[in-house]
Formats: sequence, C-alpha cells, structure tokens
Amino acid sequence: MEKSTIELIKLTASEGLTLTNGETYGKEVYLGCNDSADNWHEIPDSEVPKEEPLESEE
Amino acid sequence: MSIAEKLTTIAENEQRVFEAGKQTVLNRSNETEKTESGKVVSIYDGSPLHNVTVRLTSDTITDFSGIKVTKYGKNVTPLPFYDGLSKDMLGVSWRDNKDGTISVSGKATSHSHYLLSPDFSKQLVDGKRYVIRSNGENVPFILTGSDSEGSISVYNGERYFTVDKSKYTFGNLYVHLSTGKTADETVMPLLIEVDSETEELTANADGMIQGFTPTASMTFVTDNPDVNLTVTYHKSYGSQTEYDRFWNEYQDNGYRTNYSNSFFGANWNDRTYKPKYKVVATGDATQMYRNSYISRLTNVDTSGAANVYYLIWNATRLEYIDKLDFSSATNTNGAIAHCGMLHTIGELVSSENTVWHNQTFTTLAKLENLTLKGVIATNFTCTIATLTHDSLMSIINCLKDYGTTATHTCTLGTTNLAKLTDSEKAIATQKGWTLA
Repeated sequence: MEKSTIELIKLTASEGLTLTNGETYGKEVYLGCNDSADNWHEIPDSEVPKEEPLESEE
Repeated sequence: MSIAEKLTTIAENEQRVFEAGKQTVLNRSNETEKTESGKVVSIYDGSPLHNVTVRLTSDTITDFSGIKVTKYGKNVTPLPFYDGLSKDMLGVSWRDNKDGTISVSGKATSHSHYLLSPDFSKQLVDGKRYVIRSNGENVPFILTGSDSEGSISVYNGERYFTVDKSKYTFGNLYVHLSTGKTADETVMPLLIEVDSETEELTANADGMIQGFTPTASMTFVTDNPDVNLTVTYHKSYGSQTEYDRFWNEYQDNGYRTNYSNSFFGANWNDRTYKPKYKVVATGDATQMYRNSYISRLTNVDTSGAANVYYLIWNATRLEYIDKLDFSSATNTNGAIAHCGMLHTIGELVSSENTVWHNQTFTTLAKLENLTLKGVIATNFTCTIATLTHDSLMSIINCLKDYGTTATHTCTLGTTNLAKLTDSEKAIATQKGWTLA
C-alpha cells in the first residue's frame, strides 16, 4: 500500500480585496502544483476589471 | 369522329389524368400519416384527399355520445407569444405554457396585460372571416384595431368578425386583467379563420368522429374541458414537397457547411426549425442560433467549426442541448450566453485545439447539467453557480495533465469551489491547474 499526502495551497483574499495573477481574478485560489503564491497579489475589489463588454442584446 | 365524340374523349382523358394524379398523391402520402393531440388541435399541412379521424379521450367520461367538436379553418393565433415565457406586471404573473395556453395568477393593481403579438394585421387576410375565442373567466382576449369601432374583445366566449383592411387595421393582440380583478386560471386564447368548411361534429359513444370533409388547415376545438382530442391525418403531399424544396435549398441538399447566422432571430422557433438534414456546421457557426426561440437543440454537429462566436447567444427559450462539439473551436467568445432557460448541455466536447474564452459561458441562470468530454488544454472559465457537483467533476476530469511543465487556470468561482472536496480540488492542482 502506498500512502501519500497531497498538499493543497489555498490563498484567500482579505476583506475588500481580490486575488489576481494579472490574468485571473478570484476571492480564493488553490495553487496548481507548478504555481507559486509569489505569482498572486491582492488588489482592491474596485480595481477588478469589468468583463469586456460583449455586443448588446437585441 | 364526331365533335361530340371528340369532346367525350377529351373529358375521359382529363378524368384519367386527374385520377392518375390523385392516385399518385394518395400512394405517396401513405408514409406521412401524422397524429396531433391536445385540447385544441391545429393542423397546417393536411391532405384534403385523405380521411381524418378525431378520437376523444377522457379520464372521467366513458360515453362520448353527443359531445360536440367544432372544425374550423386555420388557427392564426401567433405562436410563440411576443411577451415570452413569463411576465410579471402590476401584481399579475403571466406564464406561457407552450401548448397554446397561458396561465395567469394574481390581483391586478392596474390594467395588466400579456401581449401575444404587437403587429397582427399582416396575419389576417382581407375579406376573410375569423372567430376570436377565449375561455377566460376574468381574462378577456383583445384584438385592438384602428377603426372607429375600437377594439374587438371577448370574455369567455367567441366573437365573429370579417377583416376589411380598407376601413381599419389591427395592431396589438393580447389578453388582459382589469384593475382590481383576481385570476388564477389557464386561458386558451384562439383566433381562427372561419370558412365555408366550418362544421359541427358529433362523437359516437366510443368517442370517434369520422366522415367529415378534410381541408389543408383545420382547427378542432371542443368546449368540454374534460375531453382531449387526438387527430390522425395524412400530411399533404404538396406540403411535404414544399418542405423538401425549402430545406434542400437552405441546407444545400445536406452539403451546407457554413451556417453563420443561419437560424438567427425569433422567427426560428419550434414551429419553423425543422431541418431536413443533420446540421453539420464544419465551416462557420458564428451567431448560428443567436436570438432564436428554439427550445431544444439536437443533432447539431459543430465539431469542425473554428468559429463559434455567439453561437447560442440570447436564445431565451432554449432549455436543452443534447451535444455540442467545440473540438475545433478557436473563437468561443460568448458561444453559450444569455440563455435564461437553459438547464442542460448533455455533452460538450473539448480538445487540445479548443481555445476557451473567459466569456464562453455567460449569464446562464438555470444551467445545472454540463458534461465536459475530451481534454481542456487552455485556461477555462465557467462560474455558473447552479452547476451540479457532477458537472464540476466532469470539468476537473477533463483538465489536461501538465505534470510539472506548466500552470493553467480553471476559474469556477467561489460558490462552485465550495462544492468540491479538497481531494477533488487536488485532482486539478496536481495536473498543474490553479483553481480560482
């Protein structure tokens, strides 16, 4: 029997802030095995870019 | 040969030609027997050469002797209704039951209405006589006109009128609930062409009606609320020919591959969207079903389409898709978006070539079942909060295993992440995917 422990690294944004790696935004992030917390930082919620506008409905 | 003999011969020849043609139609129509059921049954493609059978059924009635069924001409009630599947207005909820009936409930704080059509004049034929019928106790069915007589309205009954477009035109067609009135009922608004073939039919004890004159367009109505009608008829050979002619042309005899904008708009609905051939959009599928009123999409092949931009955008009546294949799609922006009734995508195929967009899935308030198949190899975003756990796991299981070579991001949103256990999340993170 092989027993292994898989590490799950969770980053949680502080109140009023959002995590981003410059491309993706989220309140909580579970890092992939090749990712690093250094790639993520917090920004104010107000600075999260709105989704690019799609063409309006008709 | 005398002139009289010649005339007789010509007449006999004409009769033989007519009989031969009729027999051809009859023979070819043998394969097109159809059945329609409901409280009201509308036929639009009947063969006048074949007998039609109406069968009455009921959960409570065993002897149908004497029950009346009226056969009218064409049902011109506009479907689908203009105001959509649901509307809340001034204390009243209106619901389209999608079977020709409307449910209305609530108390009207002011005049509340549900619009069936905003411009109905074009559907009425000058000189034709129509009957406007409603079974609503509180809910009148109203056809507004611009003539001095004002609107035509009917409460729980029927009214006949003849169209004279030189004197007036009709505009809105709607049902409404007056101020202070309360309703909790199902309304069946009907506007039917009345022609010389209108007949009162009477069932026998077993509930069978036969032996009347069939026409191409027929509407069968019974005033007995406990009776259901099943009409068996033959589809007109001419109708089938027209269907074939249109779809052969529209689908290039089954060889069409560029379906860009092909089913765009509300005129494509469950009544009109009846492709003859499998829809194989291996070319361009841009905006293919945008703004359509189709409720179910099946048998559509987009496996070869690179561009599925706005494929199913704002299809507000769409509820179900059996399968979509995006394995060649490199522009998926807004591909499945603003479909407020959509609850199931049975299968969505991805491949190493698929380029997912952060707005491929947008505003899908009821989407629960989404089964991903294949491989997701680019950043993937689907934050639809109603997705089931199984749907989310199908996404997790499709994420490409990058081992220790790369990091990609799968954005599911906080609500969806909370549905996954740590070990389920670890399946993704161990394959090199960061979950957000």
